[in-house]
Amino acid sequence: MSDHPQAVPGASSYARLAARRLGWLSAGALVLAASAIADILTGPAFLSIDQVLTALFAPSEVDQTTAVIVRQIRLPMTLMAMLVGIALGIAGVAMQTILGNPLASPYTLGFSAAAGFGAALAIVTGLSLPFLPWMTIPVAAFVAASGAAVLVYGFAHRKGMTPDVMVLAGIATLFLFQSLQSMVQYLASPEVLQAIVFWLFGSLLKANWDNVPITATIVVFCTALLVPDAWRLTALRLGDTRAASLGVEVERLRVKVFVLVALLTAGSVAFVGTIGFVGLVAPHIARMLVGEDQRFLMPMSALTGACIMTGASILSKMISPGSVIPIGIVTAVIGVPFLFGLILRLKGGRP
Amino acid sequence: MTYAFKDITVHMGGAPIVQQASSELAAGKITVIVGPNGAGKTTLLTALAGLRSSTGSMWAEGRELSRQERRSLAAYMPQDIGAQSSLTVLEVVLLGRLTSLGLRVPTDLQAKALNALHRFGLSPLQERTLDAVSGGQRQLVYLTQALFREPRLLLLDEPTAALDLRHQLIVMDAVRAHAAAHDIAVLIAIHDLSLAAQFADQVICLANGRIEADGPADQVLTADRLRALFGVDAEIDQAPSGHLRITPVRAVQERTV
Repeated sequence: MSDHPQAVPGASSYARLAARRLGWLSAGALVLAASAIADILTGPAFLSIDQVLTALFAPSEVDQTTAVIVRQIRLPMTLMAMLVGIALGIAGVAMQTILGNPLASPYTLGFSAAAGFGAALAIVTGLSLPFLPWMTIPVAAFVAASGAAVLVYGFAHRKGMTPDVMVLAGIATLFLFQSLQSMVQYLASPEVLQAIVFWLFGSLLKANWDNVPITATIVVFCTALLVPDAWRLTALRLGDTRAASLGVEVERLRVKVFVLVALLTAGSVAFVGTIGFVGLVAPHIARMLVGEDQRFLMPMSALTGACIMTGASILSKMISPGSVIPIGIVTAVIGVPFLFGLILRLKGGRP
Repeated sequence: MTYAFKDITVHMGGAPIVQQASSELAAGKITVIVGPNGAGKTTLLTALAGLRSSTGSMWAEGRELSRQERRSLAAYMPQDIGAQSSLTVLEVVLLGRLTSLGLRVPTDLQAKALNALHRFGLSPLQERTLDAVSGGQRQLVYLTQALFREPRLLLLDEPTAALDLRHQLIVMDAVRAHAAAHDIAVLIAIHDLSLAAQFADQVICLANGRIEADGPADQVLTADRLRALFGVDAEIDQAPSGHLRITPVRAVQERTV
């Protein structure tokens, strides 16, 4: 290819495109920061923005009650909302990419149904982990979700990890664990059933300074492993054969991303329960804003997921004053009309 | 530089799809591979590109190439142009140099990609998304991507199938010029026999996974062979421009090869 770069008009258009996308990322970060502060501000104890900011950045200068409310109760919830939003946003975009399917989400392959079953089983049996009893339900959820991932992988791997086989194996796994979950619920006593149902509604009230660092570690670990594959994931959008001819080890990439998505999903569901639609909707919004280059799409989807979660968290505290509606219900209720809107905007039904 | 492949055999589901295919591909030249549907053309191309497992060997100047070397030397362009993506045209071309792309895209690479698009008159489309351009334009974008990789061996699967007459000639001319200028070997699977005859330095006939004939167009593309290979009667003459002109007239019988 002869090189006369200067002869080509519009050579700076790519730089403009990249700048525009960086602009969206910055805007997303600003919105997230604002909604995170607003989330901490919202609650039955009416705190001023001054009090909240002081409690966050100079805790010794506010009274102890305010410091406890902000730092021990609200901050973990807000951080967990952001982390789960980031996890589901990244897991969603990764899942849609490796399955080549705009309807895929972190839950498509049954990980969250399995987590629900694991939690329900732990609640019904009343088992408790030695030394770490508060980790019993999260660990059960995490183990069950990992089990679902192993099951899907076991089937799909025999058929070369093609998207079709993964989706079919995933849907079978989803139904299996949903049925098992229903069976556990059916057999449970009314009080236990109530505890199970409450767990299944995703709720940030379970967030605390013990579990936030665990989720944060999982998110950082998985993201760090996904970022180097950004271009390879982008290439996957051109189809398996084309990506392979560009030098992508397609099957290996799919297995790696699959494992990381399972980890991200299990890590977020285990502590707060099932939170629907974030992992499906956030990638679509991000794609509309920054396109399919995963260097921008992945962080944008993470930011969008985190914004949706903090926004839903604010709403969950405002809908019924004095109580907190489980955030899983809020994301589903605002997510569905949003999804309809997206479907109407999609070009020819494509992502 | 000459690339030689020897006894390439590919099995799928237990059945042989390509059997002991051997030939040589000269750098700077265009070799065209013709054959009826299901002859194994795509399978042979992908095997040569190292994208599917095969037995047999491939050589460059007397040195055997590993599958990994084949993957990095060869650029394979699939026939399918259906993949719907909202990547921009420029991004698709940039992906041709996947291994050179980091968190930042080097500016000289951007300029080279733009230059490559410019050569096919695609510059105005650079910011359009792939799902917003016509099938023919998409094919040109993919070809630009394949050339942008600067492969030593270019394997094209039906590159003109989605193109109108003008773009067919633009593509074939560009491939020929690129092959000569950069001294790369080109192997193209194609259905249009006249286009094959016009641009091929060498023609390989493939049927039922076996190479039935291999040589210059006027020796390989004979009426008898086309009848046996494709089951058609064809008129073959010399066009005023000097190229072989092949006009399929009627389907005659079941193929005999």
